[in-house]
Amino acid sequence: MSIVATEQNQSAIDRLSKQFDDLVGSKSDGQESSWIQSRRQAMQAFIQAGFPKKRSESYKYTPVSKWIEKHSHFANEAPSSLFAQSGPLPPLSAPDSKGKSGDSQSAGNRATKAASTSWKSKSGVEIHTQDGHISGSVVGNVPTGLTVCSLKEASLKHPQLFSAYLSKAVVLDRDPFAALATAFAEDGLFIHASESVVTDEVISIHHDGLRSESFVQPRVLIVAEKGASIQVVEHFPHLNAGRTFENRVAEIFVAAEARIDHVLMVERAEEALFVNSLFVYQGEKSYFRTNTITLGGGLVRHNLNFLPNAEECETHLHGLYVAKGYAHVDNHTLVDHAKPNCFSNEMFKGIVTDQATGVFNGKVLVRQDAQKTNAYQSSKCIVLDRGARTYAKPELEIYADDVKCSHGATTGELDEDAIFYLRARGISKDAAKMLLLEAFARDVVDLIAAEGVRNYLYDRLHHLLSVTK
Amino acid sequence: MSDNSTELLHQVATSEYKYGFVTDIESEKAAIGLSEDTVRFISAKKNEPEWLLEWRLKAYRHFVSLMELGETPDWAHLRIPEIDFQAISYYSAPKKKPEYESLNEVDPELLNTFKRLGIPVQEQERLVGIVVDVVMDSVSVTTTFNAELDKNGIIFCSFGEAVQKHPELIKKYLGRVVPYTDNFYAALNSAVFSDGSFCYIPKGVRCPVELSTYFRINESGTGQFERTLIVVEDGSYVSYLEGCTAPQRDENQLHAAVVEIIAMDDAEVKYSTIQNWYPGNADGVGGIFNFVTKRGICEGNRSKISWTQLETGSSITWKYPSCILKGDDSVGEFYSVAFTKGRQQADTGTKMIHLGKNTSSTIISKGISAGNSQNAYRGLVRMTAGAENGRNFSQCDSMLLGDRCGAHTYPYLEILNPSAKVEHEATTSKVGEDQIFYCKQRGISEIDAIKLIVNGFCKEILAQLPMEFAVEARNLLAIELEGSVG
Repeated sequence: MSIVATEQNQSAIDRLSKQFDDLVGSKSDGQESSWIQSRRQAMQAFIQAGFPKKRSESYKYTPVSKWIEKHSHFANEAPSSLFAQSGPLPPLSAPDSKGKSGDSQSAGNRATKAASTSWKSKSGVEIHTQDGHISGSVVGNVPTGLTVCSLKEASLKHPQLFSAYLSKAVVLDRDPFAALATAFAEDGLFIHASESVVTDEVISIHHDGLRSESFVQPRVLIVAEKGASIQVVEHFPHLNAGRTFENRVAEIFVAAEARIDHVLMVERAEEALFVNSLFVYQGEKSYFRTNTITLGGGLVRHNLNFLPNAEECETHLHGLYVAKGYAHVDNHTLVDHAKPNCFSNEMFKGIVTDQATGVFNGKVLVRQDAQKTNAYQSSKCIVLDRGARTYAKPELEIYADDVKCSHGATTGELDEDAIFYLRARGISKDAAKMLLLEAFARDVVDLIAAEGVRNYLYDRLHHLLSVTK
Repeated sequence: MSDNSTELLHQVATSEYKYGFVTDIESEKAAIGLSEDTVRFISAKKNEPEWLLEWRLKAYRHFVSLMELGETPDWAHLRIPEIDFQAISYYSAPKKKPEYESLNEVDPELLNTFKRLGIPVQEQERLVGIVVDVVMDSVSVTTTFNAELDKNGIIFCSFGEAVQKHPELIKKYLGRVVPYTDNFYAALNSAVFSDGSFCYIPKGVRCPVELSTYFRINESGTGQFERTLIVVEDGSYVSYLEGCTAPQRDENQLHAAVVEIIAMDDAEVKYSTIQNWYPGNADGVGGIFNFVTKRGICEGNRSKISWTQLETGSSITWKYPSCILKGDDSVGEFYSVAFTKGRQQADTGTKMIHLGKNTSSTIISKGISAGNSQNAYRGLVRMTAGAENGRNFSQCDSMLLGDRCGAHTYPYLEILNPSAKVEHEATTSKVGEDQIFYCKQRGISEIDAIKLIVNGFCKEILAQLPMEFAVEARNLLAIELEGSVG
């Protein structure tokens, strides 16, 4: 069994390696851009690491090899055509392979279901993507000093900025999926706020175009220069696109005294695979906050890496997941405190029902020089059904003495006493459960700055949880 | 922190190992190296029955296959130098097989050793009523209070003796909790274990004395492979103590012990350990490699197993006393203080496997690191699908006494049953300057203040130890802490 899996994985790796060579040429001609060079490096890193092994510690509770077997289409059915094309697909183009899912609703258009579950911001900047690339034009008023474009465009128009940041935060040997995405991403999204650009307008990115059965590796680069302040909300709505596999890598730079407020919402279909590798690099006195909300998807793995690499950084990581059906949601975080006087606060909450699995692995690393670090972490999970599983591994790795670090993790059912309290006041059992679950989940949602997003999530949660009970 | 306390911590971190000396007792060693012949040699030496030899050989073959696959455990937060398993002698026994009526007949050299260790065997025997089954390089040397135990039908003897006298019990229970396939070092132990202790408490007996065994590693270049088996029948109770010190060495010594506990209906076992083996010198040279597999099974309903440990020695500690909570309403407890200094490395914790209904477990772990040491807690709490209403509470606190050491926490929480409740919390901090200031203000010296604070930090755990042991433990911790003050 495991041998079969290994072979499958190996053949997948070989195939990907070949596809990569087809894509960028098997040998460097010496004239290559630094981008291509970094992609080659990433590919090397991936080939060396391979897919996470069965006994890999960081994938202990998320047996990827199984999924790679199940989703052998991306290894065997060669989605090479997908990699070969440059630029985004025009909307409504025919699906490239097999035609088996050729019914119009799942073919390369923005899937029909997306519209009903999408969230619209009243103002701000709006971007849509197709297979991870910008599709259409940027909607809304882009404030001066803010650049929103594709990575390709950025490499031509702002070569200096581009090369100063691209691939500088991603750590290739930390996770093979991050390396793979770094290698394959042909293009991506570039958001840059110049020095002292402060805007309350939300930059909304709707990742609402995805061809069915596709394997895409999108890339995002977000930079806030010194003193800038921006809000970015990314939304991956539910799409009827079948067994898609999105393996994305995002790099975020928060320069000195800058501030980025980031929200990521995943609501993909139940057969979708979604791997999100985020690398955040912070400068002095910077502020970064991210809310990672997972309400859909079959296998969702978030690799969230934070490097507050200067003094007095403030980092907030919040997350919420509701896992239903056979979903498997895994939040894997690393806060790497390398410099003194930083603060980080981590809070993840999960509701797991049916046969679903929730995984949380949070690591706080305090290096020897990072004195006076304050790092807090909490992970709470509610399990509603027999058959649902949760795994938590909150880690502290501390090498500095003058620090305050703590973590807490709890798992359990809904509090019987609390339900009783509500029922004693004439509230039905279901309504009581609903109240408690919503209150539990809202703790995380309440921390989102953008009101529109909050309201959208309240609705979605209400819907999701009332279906549950 | 002021210079004073830095100075103090420096002293602590560099204080010499107090119990380093070599006892000169002639011993009989197995030839260096590990092979089937070694296993046969040990088995023959111990005059073991055929089935036990077979079991050892199976374990040996399993160990070899693990070696071939390169499956040495490397997951712990430890830097383990490569161990040459062929460079170790797997058996050594004092040559003069002692069979004494009283301690007066014991080799004076040996008694002197105990004296220097501060173990008042005679006094304990007479005043406190503790039976000391002293294990010195694998073979049990003294057993006292046998009469008292016999009266209650309690069996407490060396493992080798038990194999001869109670083979049916050994055959029934050996490897039941820790099979030889369990892990790398358990396989090694199963193949070459030289001796250990066996304890059997019959139905409805509350063991009138606290059983204790002092383990010592004495012979240079000798690995020690202890095997302890404790079986407690329905409604019985035993408190078992194990304490260790070892002489100073320049070469690394390997210790791979296995402890198995079986508790039947309504039985209770309290297992306490003080571990103070040679931790190596200031550069981390020498010192014991301590790879221990300790596991108890709450086989019966309403049974309870409680582990308490004070870990201050060894250059490497790899130890996870665990409980399998199989019986309904069974209880597992783990209380631990791990103190590391110099270049010591410790990766220790527990596993609580909840199988039965209404099972509960408590984990309290305190880690203190000083010098250049690394101290990690690693623990697993697993609520299996059948563990209805399982309950766990874990608390892991770490204290850092220096800026070159590390304190780490790696809890694993696996919950497969929705009615289970699991709580885990951990904190890491240093001795507060405000706390020291508060004490100094009241005329308490900085040294005493740190002692006081550390003692308070560990109080919860030390309180779990039986009284005589608790005193010893507190002293040991104090000595470890500041070198000279008792």
